[in-house]
Amino acid sequence: MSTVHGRIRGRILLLQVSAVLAVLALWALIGAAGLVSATALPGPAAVAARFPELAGSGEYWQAVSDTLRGAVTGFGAAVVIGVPLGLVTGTYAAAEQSSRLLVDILRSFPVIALLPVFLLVLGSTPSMKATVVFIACVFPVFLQAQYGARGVTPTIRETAVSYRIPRLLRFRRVVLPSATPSIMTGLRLAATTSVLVAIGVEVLTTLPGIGHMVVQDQQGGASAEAYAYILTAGAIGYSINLLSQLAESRLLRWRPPAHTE
Amino acid sequence: MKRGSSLIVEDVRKSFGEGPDEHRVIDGLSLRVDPGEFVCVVGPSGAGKTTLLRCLSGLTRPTSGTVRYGDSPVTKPVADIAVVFQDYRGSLMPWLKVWDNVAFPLEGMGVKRTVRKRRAEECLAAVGLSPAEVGDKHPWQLSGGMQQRVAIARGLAYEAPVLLMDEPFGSVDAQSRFDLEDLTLSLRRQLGITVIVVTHDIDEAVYLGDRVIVLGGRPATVIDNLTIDLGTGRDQIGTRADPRFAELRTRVLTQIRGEKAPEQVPKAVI
Amino acid sequence: MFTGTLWKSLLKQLWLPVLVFAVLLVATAGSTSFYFPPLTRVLAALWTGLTGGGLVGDLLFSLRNIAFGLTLATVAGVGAGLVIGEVRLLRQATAPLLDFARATPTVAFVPVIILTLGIGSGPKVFLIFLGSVWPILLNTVSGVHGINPAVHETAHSYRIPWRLRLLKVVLPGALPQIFAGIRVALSVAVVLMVVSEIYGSPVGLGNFILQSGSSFKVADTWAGTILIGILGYALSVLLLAAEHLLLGWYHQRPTRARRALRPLRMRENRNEVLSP
Repeated sequence: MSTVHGRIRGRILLLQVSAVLAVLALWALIGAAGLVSATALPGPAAVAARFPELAGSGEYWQAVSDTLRGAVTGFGAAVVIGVPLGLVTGTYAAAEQSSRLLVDILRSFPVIALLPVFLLVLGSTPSMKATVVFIACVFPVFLQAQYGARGVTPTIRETAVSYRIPRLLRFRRVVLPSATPSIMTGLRLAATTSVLVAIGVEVLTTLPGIGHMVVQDQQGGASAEAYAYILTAGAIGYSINLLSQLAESRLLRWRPPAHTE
Repeated sequence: MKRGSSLIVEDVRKSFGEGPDEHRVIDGLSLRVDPGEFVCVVGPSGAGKTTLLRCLSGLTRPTSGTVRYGDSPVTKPVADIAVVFQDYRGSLMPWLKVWDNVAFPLEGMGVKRTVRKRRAEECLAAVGLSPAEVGDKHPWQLSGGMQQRVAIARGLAYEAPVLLMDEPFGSVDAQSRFDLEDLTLSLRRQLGITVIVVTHDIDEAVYLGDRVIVLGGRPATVIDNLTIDLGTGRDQIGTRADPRFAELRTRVLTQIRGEKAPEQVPKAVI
Repeated sequence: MFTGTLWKSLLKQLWLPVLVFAVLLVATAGSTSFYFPPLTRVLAALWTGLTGGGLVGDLLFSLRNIAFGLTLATVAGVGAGLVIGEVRLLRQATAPLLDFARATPTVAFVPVIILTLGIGSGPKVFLIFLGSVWPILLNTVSGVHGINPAVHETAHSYRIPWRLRLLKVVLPGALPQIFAGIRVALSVAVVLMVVSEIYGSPVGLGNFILQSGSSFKVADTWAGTILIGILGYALSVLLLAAEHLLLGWYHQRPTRARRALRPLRMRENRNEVLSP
């Protein structure tokens, strides 16, 4: 049984590796065929060659930590403020109805558009970056927490009411666990957004970080290095996603298995 | 189990909406259930049976008329009435283990963990489940019939002398349904509780009840209140083969059928 | 048919935004702060910009780019997504690749693309396409994958040809998930539109707020920012309307007892799936 399973997993892994190799080959082909200039799209070999040197340089890790610091600060603040607020407004329907339109409008707003305004008011500082990240993250977190709190099914709510469960216990043992899947989704979205927005701010200002390094390298003609940083950003985003899914599966072990392969 | 009081419904009306949109579900409905009785409420779908049960349990207030338990009116859920919902899959909390689910009402009453757990295990055993086997599982890991037993166990844990059940066996397969019916009868016998079962299944109502209350009409009201004189020792094979059983169910069925317009009653086509 | 419940529902949803607007209006009325001019002045700047200034030109430039980019992304994303979703091997093989592509912040490409391809419309449309295609693609794959197997088996047992099956069974079945993906793609597209225009562009809303900001025309900067917000919101409302039109069968119709018409509202990203 386990060998069959193992063989299937091995086969899938092989497929995935071949897919990656195929993409790399295509990438190399496009570069070699001269379809695009080397500065627009350097070949995979050139980009890969940059990594050993970058990994040894302090500058690289400094840039990564600058980006992450801004992202984590903004994200953390968003969670601390957004989750409780969302849970409260989700539990009291009247508040939810009133805030609905306002939150809808604010949510669809591209936070990065606030950058020129923020530059005026706060100047180009790391705390400005964290503030922009905070604003971008707080809405998905808030909305998902609210959605989760509202998502307590009527049947479960009525069951708790019919057994006269006191309000605090109801919140702790019914609303909170019921809202956790939604909250986790919100955290996952916000975590990805935080890195995205941090890099966006760095690209548009001179604030240090991965975005800034990409700009600097590209302007200096070192596009292989720029691409190395882009791939780094991708790796960070990918790891965040992976970690979130791990955390979710751990915390939500009680969930019945969804649609499986 | 302490001895409960009578549940009295006096001229209750329940409607939804107001003005021209008012939709009267039940009107002029009166009934009475005394302690220790097993009463089944039947009626066609949409007749207002669930609405009645919600008024009885305090989850909804009637638009007019009163529901009394003993001397006091029922305006919100009370300690003496436990409810087992129709949708057991929806009413059991997926994030709690089975024993946690059963013990939840006790947790709400502030009972300590070790005491709750013991009581939950007793209730699980009472409904025919093995606490060691299912106690630590999550609801979705059990079959439908087992989940409904857990819901019943939870109702027992509440230690209420009155048990209200809303179409409790409807979503369960036929074989499990017979087992659960007998379980309910034996629980009533052992604990001396009052049981009110709302169901659309006429056979089930006649099999289970000391009395069957038939709802009908739009808006719904009591159109019959018949005593089931099939004795106290009911069993699935003997009782259902009894000619008296057939008479009683025919009477109920006729009344319910009579509620439908003739064209609504399907005719068999050979 | 306006009933009392309709008015009540509208009132409940509108009172807070209207109140906030009124408070802002009043609170900033006498403002002498440089960075937070009175709301009236910002609105006046918005008005003059739209009715005579070049703001309309900027708006149309941005709108055109985002429309093109999103349309291309939808066509490519849905097309590729349908194929990948249907072919199990393909879906499994490309899963990590697509996840990685999705996780890469497209904003990081902005300097590279603009510095090499220029500041015209083309590179911007390309960037918007690059960023928006992944959520649409991934959600399409997930939508196709999530179709009830019984539906497939029914189509198979009636020997429906694959072209018709794709069009009449798979596509509609995946449509709710696809729309969720497009909604996410829209917010990504707006961000990329703004970033690419701020970074390097002769015209466009992003460029407008950059210029106003650097020349300290504060009211104009706020006005442009608000206009971007309006644009984003208007596009999402349009998308929602399209979704309601095409997915009428998917949304539950309100029961008779709840007749009140609910104003258009946006659903949360509950359907968003970052990986299959």
